[in-house]
Amino acid sequence: MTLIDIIIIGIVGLAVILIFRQHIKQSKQGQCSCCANKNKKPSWVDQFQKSKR
Amino acid sequence: MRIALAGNPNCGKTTLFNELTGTFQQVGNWPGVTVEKKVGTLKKNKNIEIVDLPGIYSLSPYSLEEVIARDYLIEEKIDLILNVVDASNLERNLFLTTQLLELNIPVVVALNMMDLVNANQDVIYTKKLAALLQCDVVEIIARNGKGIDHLISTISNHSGLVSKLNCFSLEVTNAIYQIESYINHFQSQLHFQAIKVFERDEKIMDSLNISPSKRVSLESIISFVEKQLEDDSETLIISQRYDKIAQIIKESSQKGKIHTTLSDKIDRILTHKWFGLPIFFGFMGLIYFLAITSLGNHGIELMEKFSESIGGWAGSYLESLGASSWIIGLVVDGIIGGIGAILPFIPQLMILFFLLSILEDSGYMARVAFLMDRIFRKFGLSGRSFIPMLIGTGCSIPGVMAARTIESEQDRRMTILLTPFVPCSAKVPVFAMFISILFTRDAWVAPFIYIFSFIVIIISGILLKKTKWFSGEPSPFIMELPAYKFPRLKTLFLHMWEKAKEFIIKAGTLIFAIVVVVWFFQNFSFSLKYLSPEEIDLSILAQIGNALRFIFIPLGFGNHWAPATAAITGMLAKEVVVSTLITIGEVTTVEFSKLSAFSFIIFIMLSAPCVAAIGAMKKEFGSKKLLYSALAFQTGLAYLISFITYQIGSILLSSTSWVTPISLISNTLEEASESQLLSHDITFFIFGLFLALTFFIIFMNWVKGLKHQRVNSL
Repeated sequence: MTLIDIIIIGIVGLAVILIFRQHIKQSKQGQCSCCANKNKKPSWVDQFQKSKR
Repeated sequence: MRIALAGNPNCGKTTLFNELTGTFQQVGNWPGVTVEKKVGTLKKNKNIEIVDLPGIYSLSPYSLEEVIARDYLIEEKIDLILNVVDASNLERNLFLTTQLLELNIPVVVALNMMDLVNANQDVIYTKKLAALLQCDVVEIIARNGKGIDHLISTISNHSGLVSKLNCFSLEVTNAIYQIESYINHFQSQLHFQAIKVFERDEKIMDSLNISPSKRVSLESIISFVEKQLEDDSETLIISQRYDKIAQIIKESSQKGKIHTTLSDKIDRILTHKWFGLPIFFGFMGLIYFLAITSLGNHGIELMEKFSESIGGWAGSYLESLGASSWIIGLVVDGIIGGIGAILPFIPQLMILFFLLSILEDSGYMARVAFLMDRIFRKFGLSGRSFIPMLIGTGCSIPGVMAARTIESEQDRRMTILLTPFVPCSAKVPVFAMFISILFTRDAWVAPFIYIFSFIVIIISGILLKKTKWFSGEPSPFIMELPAYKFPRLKTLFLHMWEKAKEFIIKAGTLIFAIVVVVWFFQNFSFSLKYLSPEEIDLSILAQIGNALRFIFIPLGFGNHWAPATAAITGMLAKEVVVSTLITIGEVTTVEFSKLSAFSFIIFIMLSAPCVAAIGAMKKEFGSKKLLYSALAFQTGLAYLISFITYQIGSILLSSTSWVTPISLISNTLEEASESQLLSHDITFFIFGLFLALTFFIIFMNWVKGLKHQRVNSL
């Protein structure tokens, strides 16, 4: 195993661990890692909520 | 004297502000936010300062503008509120008026657009309206300055008396009085704040620093009334407010002839009892055809070129650095090949969301919610459930979360369960890949998948309604429909860009991590030996796939271990189905017939969603039992429908090309080159349409701007 192998394994391995850790954490909270905290609604949904009777 | 100018957006507030202040106005920024405020002095009395608040529909914290306006009215010392009301739309405008009257600040109502009221032959009895609202009401036409002198004299000579209008029933009023005794007596807007506490307005509760013990007492007061009147406190306040407004309008105005607007005329066609839904499915079919089918070949060509060029460069560079062959395999085949298999579908997603945004921004999707209400109601859901499902076309997670807006517990649970059936943006690359390889001549497949998902939703709804968890009457669905408007180009591009950004972020993070793990399982045996491409059948992934593939044999895709493993890796993120099949397909022959591919698409679309969406479902259901039952239902139904599709298809299509197995990778370039002419033609057509649409929207906005300038100059 060469030095470049160790460097690549280190970087990729660490990135994979950190990404999965974050994803599991967010999944437990019911969030999507790519659209977390952006509970997007169409513009007219607010109007709907306001006018609900 | 300081006057705050408040009113709904587009009620003529700015025109009135300019009329009142002349040219003596300055523009400043609200602290901490970018919303502009305008401050000016009355042109006939420089001692009167006028502050123009953002256009708002209510004092509830639904939007940033409403929070700003509310904070300003509560925190700043205002001597009088000048409420501009669009007299041609009294019901909607008086909602804000009734809230302003509760602030314990003198209010003068400027009834604007009286010319429209007269043109519609409506009559408003201003004195009666003033008596009912318990404040001064002045008729004006801000556009031509009519009634402005009367308004100025009313403001200047105001007695300072505040309205004591009460919109609520005895039970709610008593509860509000009780709440008042719990919160600070020195607050000048005690009554308004008590109403907001009754509505459980968190921002107001936090600002009042209510202790936990007091919160418990307040909660018992609110819950008591909710139980008594069988509705939640916020809905009680809104509905009783509207009841009061209806009563005021009935006593103080008379309707003339009913005029039909352009929106009404369009609605007659688009929301027609019989044609409405076919038109909607026609639109969706066209959108899915344009975005997915026509661009499919282009995507697959790009995919090959991307992997070849970047992979080739990275491979030779790593080799020159002395990297081992398996490290080169990880980077080139695993990471670049895996991510590269998904990235070419970005243009399809961007076009899909651009076109969906047009429907949304124009106001059409709000109509579809009503159209859906008619169908959904038949199996016990209401049109409200369509909103989470619409959001689910982007991502199931915010879709599942949006089900919170549904009051009925049964409706909410059912919406959470059914929303993941809608093909989200992660599932789009899966069927886009198959369409680009196997269904290049079958333009109906992409639209059918979308329509089919709604058919499954309806059938599932009918079945589930018969169970104890979901039975019950659907909640009523009432909504003020926005007028049709030309979509703003900025909004459309913003939606498109956000979707592309999200996809790229996901490819660079989660998908990257998954393809690395999949590559490891695909290239190593259980004894951790690095395998050559010929030995792939000994890999961990192959062994797992082989152990499970018998489950999928009745569905038509169990003859090879690759689809079984793709279905499993797809649980982490649905896009990974594509990269798994492509990376395996590059070293071994993975075959699909059109029929087995169709069955596979159905299974991926309907089976349990990705783990992140399962997390959202768990949170929203609040019950593990319900979650597991929902996942079992989704996967069971996916299996059943795929099974029926494949088995019946095998009988009916036995002598057609639909049952001929085609290799996933070798067919890719062949099909792409064969249909190159068609692909280029359609691509040119799409971009032509895209450009034409862009210019049309710019042109209409320019015409609108010209009209606006003319109105202002008049």
